[in-house]
Amino acid sequence: MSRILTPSVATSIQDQGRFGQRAKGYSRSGAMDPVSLAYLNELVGNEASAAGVEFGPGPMRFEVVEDGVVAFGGGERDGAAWWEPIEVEPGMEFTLSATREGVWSYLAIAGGIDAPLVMGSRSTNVREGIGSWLKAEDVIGVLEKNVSRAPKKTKGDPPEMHGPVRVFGELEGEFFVGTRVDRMGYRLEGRLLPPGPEDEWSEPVLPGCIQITPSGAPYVLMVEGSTVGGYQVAATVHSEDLRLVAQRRPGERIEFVQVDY
Amino acid sequence: MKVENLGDRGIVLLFDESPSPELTRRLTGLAESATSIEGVVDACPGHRTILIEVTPELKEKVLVSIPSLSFQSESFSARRWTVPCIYDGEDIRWMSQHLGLETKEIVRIHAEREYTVMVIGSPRFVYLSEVHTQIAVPRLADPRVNVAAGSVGIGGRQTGIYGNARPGGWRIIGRVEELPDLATGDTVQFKPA
Repeated sequence: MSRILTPSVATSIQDQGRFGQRAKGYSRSGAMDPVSLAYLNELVGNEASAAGVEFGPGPMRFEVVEDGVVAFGGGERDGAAWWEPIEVEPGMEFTLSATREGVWSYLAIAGGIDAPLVMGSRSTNVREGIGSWLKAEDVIGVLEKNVSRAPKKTKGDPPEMHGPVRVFGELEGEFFVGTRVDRMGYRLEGRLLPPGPEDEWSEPVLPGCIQITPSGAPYVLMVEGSTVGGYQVAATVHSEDLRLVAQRRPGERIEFVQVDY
Repeated sequence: MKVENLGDRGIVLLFDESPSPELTRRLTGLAESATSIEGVVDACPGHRTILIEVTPELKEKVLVSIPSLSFQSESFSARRWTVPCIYDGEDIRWMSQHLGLETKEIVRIHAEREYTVMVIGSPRFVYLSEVHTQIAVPRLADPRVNVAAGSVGIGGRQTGIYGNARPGGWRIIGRVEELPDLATGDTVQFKPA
């Protein structure tokens, strides 16, 4: 169990996502970089599906309230060992810097983080009225208290945080992440594309769909992206590579590589 | 029906018809039957499409099963909802001037018709079927940054409900205090409150 002293921007509890609820208007939600969270869960001996804390690029401070094992990973920061299990005891404090690399970082705790299970997931989605952003003095509870405390050695390296992004559809080459990034979507800059007609009837879309907004700027739908949209979808990011887009900061370069079905 | 890919996790079934309550019932029934195919994670009806979300490794198998999807209209059970609506929306005066109709006439026309839930977007934005042409109005040129949860609006010929707060450009005519657990294919009749 830990207490948040200073939250970062967009600090929330997330897991691998809420699936099967799009017809009722609930988006996937879940971690922006689910692979990093799953890896950390493995490090502390959890199932990949356990909930963790996701936090945006700002600095973050929290204090440990109970013995346990934690692990940090995702967007890199100073202030703690990264991608390693850490045995913790009450009174320990972590002061993490803003991200040096990437956007979204994660904290996994052995036993998983406790949050209400809503439609099969513990993921927060503030806009959908499920949970809220974590704030100072919030206590993060552990779901299963009696778990093995022995830190686990995992096979394999931590997930790759960089690389070309595979897309299905008519889009290729270099773009730059726009100034505003959030859990709904990333606007891209560098080149405008012909917007195409706006559809009178909104139709379902998925995270990873790249819509062309009326200004011609591509907009990548992220995990909290709208479940339906009226803009033309020019291409769709490969589901394994969407996290690479999520981890690019405003102004950073993204290289799209076209792949076939 | 056309079948298209939408990335490695999506399959879109596209129906070359105009949206209608009848098509919505069919799409809802077909989407529901698609969820029982192994590898299907979700199936979401749109106005003229169904988006099937799959586990990428099982996509080819799902594609093979799609032609056998069927819909029995007699087994489709839609619910009918009566939803109290307070018609005091911020655009109702503008609509009255724009349409040359008294506000109570706009309310009467809007509440008279039983609407079908066509699509539910996020966060719980309920797209309903068409209003009478007499009260159709264009959307705002500049969408509002925040439209309150429960707002009832008209956008073009469609009416709809903002289930949660979000930005939006529909003309707001009223609000509901509680949104029932709507599903596509259900019907909604507003009762002036």
